[in-house]
Amino acid sequence: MNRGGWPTRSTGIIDNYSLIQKGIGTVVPNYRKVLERGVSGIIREIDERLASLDLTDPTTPQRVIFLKSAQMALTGLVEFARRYARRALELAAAETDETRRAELLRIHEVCSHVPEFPARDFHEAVQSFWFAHVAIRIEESGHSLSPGRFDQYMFPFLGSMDRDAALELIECLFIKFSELMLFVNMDTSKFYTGVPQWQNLNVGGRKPDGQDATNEVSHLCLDAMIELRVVQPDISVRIHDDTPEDFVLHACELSRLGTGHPKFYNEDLISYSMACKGLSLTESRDFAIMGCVEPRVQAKEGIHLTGGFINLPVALELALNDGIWRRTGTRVGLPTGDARIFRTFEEVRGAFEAQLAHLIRHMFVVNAIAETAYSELLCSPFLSALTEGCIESGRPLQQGGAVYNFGPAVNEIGVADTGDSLAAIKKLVFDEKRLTMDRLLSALEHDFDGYDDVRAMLLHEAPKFGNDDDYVDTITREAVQFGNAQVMRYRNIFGGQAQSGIIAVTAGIPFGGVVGALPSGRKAGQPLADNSSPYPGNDRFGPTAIARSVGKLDTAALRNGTLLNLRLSPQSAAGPDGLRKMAALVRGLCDVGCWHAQFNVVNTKTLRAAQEHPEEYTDLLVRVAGYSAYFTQLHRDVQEDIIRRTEHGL
Amino acid sequence: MSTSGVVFDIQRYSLQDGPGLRTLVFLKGCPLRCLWCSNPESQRLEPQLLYDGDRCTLCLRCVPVCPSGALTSAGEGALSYDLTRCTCCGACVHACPNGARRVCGETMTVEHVLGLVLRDAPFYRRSAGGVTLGGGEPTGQPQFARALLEACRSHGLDAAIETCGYADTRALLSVAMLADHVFFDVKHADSARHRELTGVPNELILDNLRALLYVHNDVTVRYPLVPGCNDSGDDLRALAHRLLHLPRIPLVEMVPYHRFGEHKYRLLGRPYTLEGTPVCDKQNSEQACAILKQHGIRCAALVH
Repeated sequence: MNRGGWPTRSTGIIDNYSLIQKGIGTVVPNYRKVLERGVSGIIREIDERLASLDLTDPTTPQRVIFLKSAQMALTGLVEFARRYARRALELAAAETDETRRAELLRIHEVCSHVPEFPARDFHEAVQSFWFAHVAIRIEESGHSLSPGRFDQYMFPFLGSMDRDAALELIECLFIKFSELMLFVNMDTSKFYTGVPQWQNLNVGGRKPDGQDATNEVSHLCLDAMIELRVVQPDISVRIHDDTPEDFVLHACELSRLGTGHPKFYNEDLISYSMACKGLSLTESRDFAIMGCVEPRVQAKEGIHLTGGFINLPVALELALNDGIWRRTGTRVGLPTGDARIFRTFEEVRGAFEAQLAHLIRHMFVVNAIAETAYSELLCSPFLSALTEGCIESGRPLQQGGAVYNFGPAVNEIGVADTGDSLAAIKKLVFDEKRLTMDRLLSALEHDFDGYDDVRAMLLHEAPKFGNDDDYVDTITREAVQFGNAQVMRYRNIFGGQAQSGIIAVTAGIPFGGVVGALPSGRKAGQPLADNSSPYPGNDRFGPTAIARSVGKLDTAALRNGTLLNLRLSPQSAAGPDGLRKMAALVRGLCDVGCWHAQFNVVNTKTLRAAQEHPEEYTDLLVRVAGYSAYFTQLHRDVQEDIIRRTEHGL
Repeated sequence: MSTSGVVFDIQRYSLQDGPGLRTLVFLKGCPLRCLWCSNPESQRLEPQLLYDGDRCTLCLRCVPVCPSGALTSAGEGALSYDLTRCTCCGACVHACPNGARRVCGETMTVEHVLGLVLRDAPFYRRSAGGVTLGGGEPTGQPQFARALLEACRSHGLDAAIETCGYADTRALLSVAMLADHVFFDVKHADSARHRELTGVPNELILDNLRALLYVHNDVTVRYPLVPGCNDSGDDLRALAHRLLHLPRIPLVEMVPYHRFGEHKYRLLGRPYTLEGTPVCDKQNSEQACAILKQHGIRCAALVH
């Protein structure tokens, strides 16, 4: 411990440092309000709120300070836009090209009107949105500041506008999204490799009344990404039973390009999960995905002050070693007893659960301190003004001004590693008694050095998560849901309930670095499994089996969302027939209970990398007519043939 | 007692063996020995031991555990395997720390297979997909194949079979009539050449195809297009001639030759006869299709 418990670096056992060190984010602001009422409308609303305050109420002075600061920030945005308007006019005056001058004059006209006043057409709506978004990003260098249901609030402005012109505007906007960058420190960059922005732009889904929400803007956003193939925004496609097939096919067309866009979401399952928080049916349907896969009540939900990652396999390591962390040899967990004398699997599981509950408790010790500091020291007046509840309550986000304040979110990392390890112990040590706990622990202690027979048994004769095997899938779910239940015991500084999910980003790499050898057969220091995916190389039956294993985790109960990356070969989605089958796969993924899925369509680069490092790509399946093969097992010249075909999209 | 049979693989998320997303159940045992066979481990009905020399570190841990003496240490760092002694008990599989050994083929009950097949039911519903029995040769285990197909039908699943057509006519028809779709292989039009390539003549196969076409309305002919074996213009014109004499001219799918099965010959310790044969590309299959189309035969080229 140090300086009153404030972390100076991540332990790798729990990590909330990365989130604490970053700017405020993880929110879907009320862009619709800016478009429809204009900043001047919001300033007027604040005036009205100020006028209605009871001046004898001792909390009023604080509210006045916040409301006036919000007004200042909003006024600043108007001035910010006027500068663009003036500059456009200057450039127009000096411009000799007629076409360009007309464009500049149009820019001048648009920037003179928005965001101050309500947008009058699609061009103004796009510009107004962007001004508001940039202003938020100037106020906060936060991640996951997400547009949310862009197609819903933009569609009313589309009118009869020429569709090519609308597409061009959306494309310009997407290019701007891709220009933004975050400031993060070194540690955080390991947990969030590539410094992703997570400006999550949703399309499709249901309207609050339950009707299908897909519209022309939804399609235009897909078209824009198909043409541009830029990194941002993250396109999120929301799928339900009534989603028109042409929209699913359109989204699959984008997906098979191999850019990672879009992400697919299970609309109704997520609404169901939202309703379990006590929200109304209409609010539950009007969620917006922000960040990776996390749902928020659009425009009404506050920021998460803290949150982070919890390393599940460390809890198991501590359970098998009486609370001692192998990496340091020190006791960081509870003294749960010598695992060598455990008589039943239930005792192993009991020790694991005790250790996990202990780690999660520590996470919330740090959270409590961090949340206090945040609410006392920080204020985001502009972002608060764009969140429902803050103006009404007179309190900024950091003081719980939003209508809803769920969270923080704690993500469980190393899910498959933990499930595989527990299943191996249950099957080999207790059910079949083919391995003694003593020998298993010695093998782990020596990182399997001299115990390759033990490792072989663990790898090849214990069931692995991701193969639709109920034995291991059930154990995995129980471990994950135990962690979930522990997290949900805690509340944030505003009284909102914490929630957990399975979103690792790239935390599995630094987290794996601090975990010793595991009963799953994984060696010390190796990265942990990716998000909710099986451990690399363990899946044998393709995407449908993986999806069913993930569905069995009971993803609706994991309210922060569960992320699933799947790998597909381009051949499997080739041609109109392949596209239809991919769409059926997406719909089937929803049916079996996946929260989210996104496809890595294998490209030549991946195949080349698999040739270089076959050990990292043992699970790389190549699909062929009536036949599938593991790429790394094929002859070099056959591999070359596949690479040639991949390059030609055959 | 429930009907059981020998299955050598179950492959979910199959995309080209009938409509929609499918689960492919491979039955073990095939009467043909096609030179290009991409599943050589499926040819014998009995379970078989596969050995991957690339994974083997010659630690020789398998030698003492072998109860039938099929594995012996042949001096310093060498291993000898006597196939005739091996009973496929799997002891060496458990003993191997490197995953170099695997038993191919498992006796499974209809209920067991059905349980696995039904796991992807949501995906069949979304894609109008289902189950496909392949092989090996599904009509080689007619009782098991019929019981499986009946079980699938009772669950409302779309069912298909892939057959080489070389079977007792009544057995073949009794299995095929339980399937919604039949993929029927024709490998060469000329019987003598057929025997060279597959080990058996083709009269029975063509007679069975004729009989099937009288009673089944969803039959697709599959022609494996193998360079140097059956891809010449004469070969294809002879095929067209055969097809034109059938009671009904079925759709033909050209299945281009690939070499994804080549490494399996190594695992079985067998030579690969077609070593060096070029794979079939899109152009080859389209040219072949064009020849059939000239004869008014509908034809589609599958991709790898």
